[in-house]
Order: sequence, then C-alpha cells, then structure tokens
Amino acid sequence: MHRNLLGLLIILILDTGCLRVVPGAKKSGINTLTTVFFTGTEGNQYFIKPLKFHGSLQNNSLEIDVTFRFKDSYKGNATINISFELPYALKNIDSIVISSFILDKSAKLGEYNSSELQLTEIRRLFLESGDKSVTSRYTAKADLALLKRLWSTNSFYIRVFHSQKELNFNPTSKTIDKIGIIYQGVFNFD
Amino acid sequence: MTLPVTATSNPVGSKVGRASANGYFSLIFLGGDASIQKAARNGGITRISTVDIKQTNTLNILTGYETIVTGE
Repeated sequence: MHRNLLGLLIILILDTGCLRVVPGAKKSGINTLTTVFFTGTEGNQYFIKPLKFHGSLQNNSLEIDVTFRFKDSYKGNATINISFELPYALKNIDSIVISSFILDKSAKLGEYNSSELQLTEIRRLFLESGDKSVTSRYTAKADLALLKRLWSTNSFYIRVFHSQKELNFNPTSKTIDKIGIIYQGVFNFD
Repeated sequence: MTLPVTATSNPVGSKVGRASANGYFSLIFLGGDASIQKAARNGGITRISTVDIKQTNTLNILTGYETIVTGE
C-alpha cells in the first residue's frame, strides 16, 4: 500500500511538470517581479508586480503595483495601483504618501525632499467584500523621477490619510528584498 | 512560461492589470480568479490591447496561473 502511494508520488513529481523550463525565470529574479512590454516609439512599458506591505494594525495590509514607460530618461508619471485589505471599506482617501526609511543624501539644500513622494490623481477603482476583509482598490499617479529616487533607497513605507485618520504600512521582509532587485532591474538604465 | 492569449488592434495601453490563482497538484484550487475580466478590473482597463498568461509549476506540486492584461 505504502509502496503504491510512494510510486504514485514519484510519478507525479517526474511527470512533465518538473522537467519544464521556464525561460529566464530565476526564482525571485527580475523576470518574476516585473513584466516588460514593447510599445514602439515610446520605448518599453514596465509593470512591477504587486508588492505586499503589512499594516501597523492587525488584519491590515496592502499590495502596490507600478506601471511606467521608459525610453531614454525617467520622466513623466508612473501609474500606481494599490489594493487595501482592511476590515472595512476604504470609501475615500485624502492623500497617500510614500516615504523612505533612509534620508536621501543626494538631495541638495533647497531641493525637493526626495525621501517623500505624495501621490496625485487618487481615484477609487472598486470595493469588494471578501470572507475576512474588504478589498478597496485605488489608482494614482506619481512623478517617475521622484519614484526612482525613492526606490534607490531600497526601502520605503506608505502612509494613507483618510477621514482624519492615518494608516501606516511597512514592507514585508520579502518585499524589502524585492525592492532592491527591482531597482537594479528597471530603475538603473540612466 | 508565458503564453500569448490574444491581441487586439488597440496599441499597447498605458494600463496594466494582473490576476492570479494558485493550486496544488493541478487539482486543488482555492478559489483563485485569474480571469481576463478580473485582471482588467484590477488595472482599471475598459479597452483591452493584449492578454498574456504565465504558468508556473514547481515539481507538479504547486501550480500558478497569472493573467496580465494591457489596455486603456
């Protein structure tokens, strides 16, 4: 009986699945974290897959994904989509600020404080009730050059202000690792 | 492995949406939704340009499906 089960397990493992080659996909490599689309005259479009942040309160978390185009410089806006997983529906947001844990030493005196980035054009996409939480998905814009500088610090956190309340979200340890890999992969071309 | 599913005459849109589902032994899927509809909704997309599906498989134990849609 046990031999039959063991044989079945070995067949399952040796089936074609384990012999498949995933082109260019190293675990936790850049290809698993981003997707690139060729857009013709506008260069490439980069999509950074969702990165998880956990909230300071229990059962609070968010996932953030980023889309931007790059040809020869980091200019214009990036689109940032955020899914909040909270015990309640987040019906409106006053502002979202992404801040670095590390002060940007390259910023010169009088220059914009690049260790903070305030998102603009915040718009709700949808609200969806789940079994344990409510998903509130929002889209916003961010200055791409500032986002690149923030990303270069390798770690940042997100503050959300709504109804005179503040929610804080910090990156998980896996997310901190991914931020560094993504910077080398898509923010390091100039 | 990433596979194309469809492309339309629309140029590659500036929006990207993603949806994913994971399963075990290619048999058990715990309610994940990797549909084009969900990916488009996640990206706020109403006009679809391209659809790709990425499949991952780890020793036939973990199976993942990821749908990525571009559009406007």
